[in-house]
Order: sequence, then C-alpha cells, then structure tokens
Amino acid sequence: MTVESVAPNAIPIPSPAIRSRRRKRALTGLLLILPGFLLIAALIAYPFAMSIFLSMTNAEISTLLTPQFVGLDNFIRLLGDSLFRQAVINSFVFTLIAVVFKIGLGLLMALALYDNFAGRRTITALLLFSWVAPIALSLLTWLWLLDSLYSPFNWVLRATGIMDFGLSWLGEPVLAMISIAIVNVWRGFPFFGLMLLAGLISVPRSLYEAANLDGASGWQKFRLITLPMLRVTLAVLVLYATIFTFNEFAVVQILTRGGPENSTQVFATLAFQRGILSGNLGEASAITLYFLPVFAVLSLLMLKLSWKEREL
Amino acid sequence: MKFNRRHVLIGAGAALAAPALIGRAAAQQGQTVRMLSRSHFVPEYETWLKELAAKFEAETGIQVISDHIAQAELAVRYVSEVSSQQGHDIVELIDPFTLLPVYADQLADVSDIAEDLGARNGGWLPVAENYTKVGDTWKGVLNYYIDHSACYRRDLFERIGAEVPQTWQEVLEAGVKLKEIGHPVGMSFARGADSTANFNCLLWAFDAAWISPDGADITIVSPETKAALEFTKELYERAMTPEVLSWDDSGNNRFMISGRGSWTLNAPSVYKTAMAQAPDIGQHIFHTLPPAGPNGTRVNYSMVYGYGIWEFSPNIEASKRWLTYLVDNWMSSYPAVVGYNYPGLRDHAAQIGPVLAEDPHIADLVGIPEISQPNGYPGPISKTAAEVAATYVLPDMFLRSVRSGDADEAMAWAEGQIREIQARQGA
Repeated sequence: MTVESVAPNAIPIPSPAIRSRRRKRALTGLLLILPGFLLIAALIAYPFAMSIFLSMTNAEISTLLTPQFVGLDNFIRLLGDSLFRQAVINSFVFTLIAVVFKIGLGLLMALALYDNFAGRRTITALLLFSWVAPIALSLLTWLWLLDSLYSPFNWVLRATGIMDFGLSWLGEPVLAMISIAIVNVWRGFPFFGLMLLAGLISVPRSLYEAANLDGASGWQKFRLITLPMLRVTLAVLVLYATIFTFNEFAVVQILTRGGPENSTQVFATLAFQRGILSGNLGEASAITLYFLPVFAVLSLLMLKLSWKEREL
Repeated sequence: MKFNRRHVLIGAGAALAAPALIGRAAAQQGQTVRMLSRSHFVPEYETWLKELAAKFEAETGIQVISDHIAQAELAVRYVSEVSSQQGHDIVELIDPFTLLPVYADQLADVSDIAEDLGARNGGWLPVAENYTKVGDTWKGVLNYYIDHSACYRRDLFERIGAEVPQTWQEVLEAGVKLKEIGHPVGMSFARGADSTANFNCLLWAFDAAWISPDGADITIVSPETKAALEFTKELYERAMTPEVLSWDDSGNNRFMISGRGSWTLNAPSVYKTAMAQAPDIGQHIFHTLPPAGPNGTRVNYSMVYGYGIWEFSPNIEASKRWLTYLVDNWMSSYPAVVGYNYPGLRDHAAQIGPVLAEDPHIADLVGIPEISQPNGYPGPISKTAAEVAATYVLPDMFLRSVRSGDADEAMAWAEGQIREIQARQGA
C-alpha cells in the first residue's frame, strides 16, 4: 500500500507508480479513440476544411490541383446570380414547410404513443418504417405514387370524378414544392416523434397527477406542463430539423432535379449541378457554405439555451 | 489462441495498410489498364467487352480491368479521381452526364490514336469529332452514341389514315387526330436526359440554336426559336396531355408500352422492352428518324459515350493500345447492341445498314449516323454547353413558354441564364 504524506489544504501528490499507471491508462484511452477520431477527421473534418478552402478559390475540376485564391469573390458573385437567389428562397420555403410539419406531426405522434395501449409497439414500429427504409427504395416508391400516368392519387381523383386527368404532382411548380415537402416530412417525422416521446417519458408523472387533482383540462396540462418541459428538446430538434432539411439533396434530386423551371431548386441540387456536373467546385463549395455562419450562430444559441435550462 | 489488445492493434494497423500496399504493387506492375464505364443497359455488351479484353490480353500481355457503375455515379467518382490524381486509367465521358470539356484539362492528348483510327476507317463522323476534339486536340475517342429517334405506333397511324410522320408538322396533324381517339403523342418536358434531347432535336429542326457555330454568340433569341416555341405550345395543347410535364426519363417508355401512347422520341429501348413485356403492343411499335423542321432540317441529338485517358495515368501508352483495339473491333459488338449503339467511324457506319435492315421495326434508323450531333451543336463542345445541359435551360425554356404562352419572355429568360453561365465559365 502506498502511503502519501499530505499537508493540510494541499493537493495530494500521487506516487510515481500511480502516475505511471494513469499515464498508461490515458495512452490506452487515446489509442482506443484514435480509429474513431481518424475516421471523423477523414470523413468530416477534412472534407469540411477542404470545402472552406475551395469556396475561396476558383477551383474547377480541370484546375483542381492548382486553384487560385479569390477570397470572398465566389460569395459576392453569388449575390448577383439569379438562380442562386431563387435557390435561397426555395430552400427557406421548403425548410419552413417541412420543419413545421415534421415537428408538428412528430409531437402528435409522441402524444399519441405516450399512453400504453394494445398494439402500441406495432404502431410505433410501423411509423418508424418510413424513417428506417432505404432512401433509394422509398423514393422510387414515391416516384411511382407521384407519377403522372400511374399515380394512385390521380386514379382516385379520376375514379371519383373530381378531375378528368389528375394532378401533375411533379410538373407544376407549386405542386412540385408541396410534393417534395410531403416526402421529406413523411421520411423525417417519425424520428422527431420518437425523440419527443423520449422527452415526454422523462416528464415526471407526478406533475400530471397534481394537475389532475387541481382539475386541469387536457389543453391546460399540455400548455402548462408538457410544452415547458419539452422546451429544450423541441429547441434542439427544431435546430436539427432545420439544418438537415436545409441540406436535403436526395429527395429533390431524385424527384424533380430542381425543376420544373427551378421551382424546387435548393442549395444542395444547385451545388451538385454547378460543382459535379459543370465542374465549378469553388462556386459549388461557396453555395453549400453560404449559410454556415447563420446556422453556426443558431446552433450556439440553441446550445446555450439548453445549458441554461439544465442549470435551472 | 488468446487475443490481447496488442494483437488487435497490430491487426487493425495491418488492415489499414494493406489496401495501400496492394494498390502500390498493382501500380508498379504497369501492364494493367483499368477502365471505368457506366453499366450498359444491354448486359450482352459487357460480356462482349470482357471477352474482347481477354483476347487483347492474350495478344498483348496487357490486362484490362473494366469496372462498371451506375451512370449517375460517374461524375462524383471522377471528381475524387482527379483530386487524388489516381484511380482508373481510362474513363467514360458521357454527353450530357460527364461531358468531356469539364475534364478536358485532366485528359491526355489522344490525337495520335484518334487520327490513326480515322485514317484507317474512312474518317470520323461529325458527331465524333465535335464531341471529342477540343480545339485542335483530340481529348477522347468516341465509342458509341445513342439515337433519339421517333417511335410510333404504326397501327394507330394507319387507323387515322396518316403516313409515317417525317416532319414536326405531320406529327402535329396526326397527333390531333390520335388524341381524339385516346392515343395522344408525348415527350417529356421535365428535367432529365430525355427532355434535353427532345428540345435540342426540336430546336435544331427549326434551324435554331442557343449558340453560334464559332461559339462566340448566344443566339437563342431568334425568329427560329420563337417558331419552335410556338409550335411546341400548339403540339402540347392539341396533341398531348399534361402528364408529359412531369415525366421522368422512363415516362415515355411506360406511355408507349402501356398502349396509350402513339408517338414519342426515344432510343429503340421502347420497342425492345415492349417486345419483351407486351409483345401485342411491341409488334406495332416502329422507329424512324427524328422529325424534320419547316425547312427540312433533321438532326439527331446523340447521347455520346466516349473514352478519355487521365493525364495522371501511369499507363497512357497501354491505354491507347487498348482503346485502339476496342474501336477497331467495334463491329463485333454490334450484334449485341443493334439499334442501341451507333459507330463514330464512317466505315463502321456503312456496315450497320444490313444488320439494322434485318429488323423492320428499326430499319429506318440506318440514316442516324449522318444526322447525329452532340450537346452544344452547332457550337464547339464547351464547359458552357455542359452547364446549359446540367441546369436544363432548354427544357425549362420550352416548359416556360408552354405554361405562360409567352415565347418572347421564355427566350429572354433562357438568354439571361445562358449569359450568366457563359460569364461564369468564360467559354
């Protein structure tokens, strides 16, 4: 047994054996997290840093190895780019619609699944299907559902005599925007529902019992207990949903490719067309990073809010 | 045997290092050429390619490894290969998905083999030269291109007493009657390869183009373009149904194979798929040359598939030998891809007629090679052409005109878009 002499009010000095053991443990810990760290560095940090670098160059595919530094030129030039401006508007409209419905439907799902009832687990699993299904598969199904010739929705419209032909879901600008938002919401809301359900379960039941004793109505319990208790969870989920929806690519690219007439052109599809298909990597990087500062500030504010709530 | 932490760490290190070591060894060997192409929709073509590569290896000792991935994934793959300056030696350059000019500065000069192939085979057709030559330098070798021909139901045209439509005006006149009997004509207006091809074909037939032959002027605003836009609006309103506004690239295939459609523009995959899936419909589907415009101009928009060699490839000479061998043996692939692939060399084009004539459904397509042109025609192939195609300016212009009825506004919008692209691309 190692005995250490400790002066009153002094920090105890570990013996050399303990220090050596701690160093070894620290080294082992570092070695164990190294693969994970390297993976994150290679797959996230490096491309992110590369993207920032490229956004300030005139890099094209053909000059990728010898790009010239152009500072903020790409960002400034994009302000005068009509297609970029349209993509900004479309991205905000798409994000607003999709986030409101994803969080709204997610909250409804969480409230519906909060109480125990027969078949609850089966329903939860079915609701999660849209989120866990491979995106390529589910989007091919949506392509068929929204097909102008074979759409079952159009079949119903025709069969019921509401319309002669049906709707051109992906061929009309407003309908196309609504269609991609519906698909994005369909895919995303179960995840948010599950997160909110976890938040709901953590709300002490005693609060509801006390409210019941006071004769509170369902709406009062929701407004005065559920919502305040879920505030931090909701704030984090709104931020999460906003960032992910803002960067949506697969749904738009597969269903509309940004059409018709650029009415569903969003940042990710425009960046793909400009960067990968047309070769302007510098400009495409600038497009993807344009709103990074806004989201960075939003993220910090949300995190600050959640920490503040936790301290309270 | 017991495994401890040290074994795990050593194993992980070895696993990480192995691919790099194997890759280095393969590169040092030097007699292996790696080629990346899209997955061809005719599986027999890939079998033929594999057999040809084996024959080439037996004759030269150079091994050819031919990788195939989905067409849509090629562009992303090429960016990563260029940025790492390693990967395949030969890459497929597809109009309009991985358009050659985007990669031109990273491609080796293959003028020697292109000129040699041309000299030995009666010369290259315009579509081949226009797609693969950048300035005076050949940056690629055309392998094949696909037609965008007129596909029609012969029985339905006979029912309304119409001849096989040879002009856009005849398509309109027959289309009005065909729509009345429940069999409209159709072509996609939505974003995709088909709509790009449709509206290039139509624009060219009306003697219009978005670029001048020397590539210096934007010529989209013209009386010819306006005539094409006004004609298309009439064709849409009188002979089509709104479903065409949102078709993906397989929309017109489904339209014809379902038995509802009477005419569309597409490669013979429509007829061949119909024969396999719905022979009662397929037996009535025929293909003919794309329609001519008011002055008899008829141009086929070709989806072109060429090969280039990365400048950074350590196997440029071996790659050139393989590409020469591949194109020299082009005709031996033809039985597998008859009606799909068309040759870039004049001597080969002269030989496809008898093979095509064996199938009356596609026999009319013998004239395709002489009227074929790539993206950007009549201008030189350029990065501006790549972005005009990538951002679907032409299909959007036609859609805008059909929707608003204002051809002048649609032309002005397209001109604005193309000028912005040209200013960015600088070419």
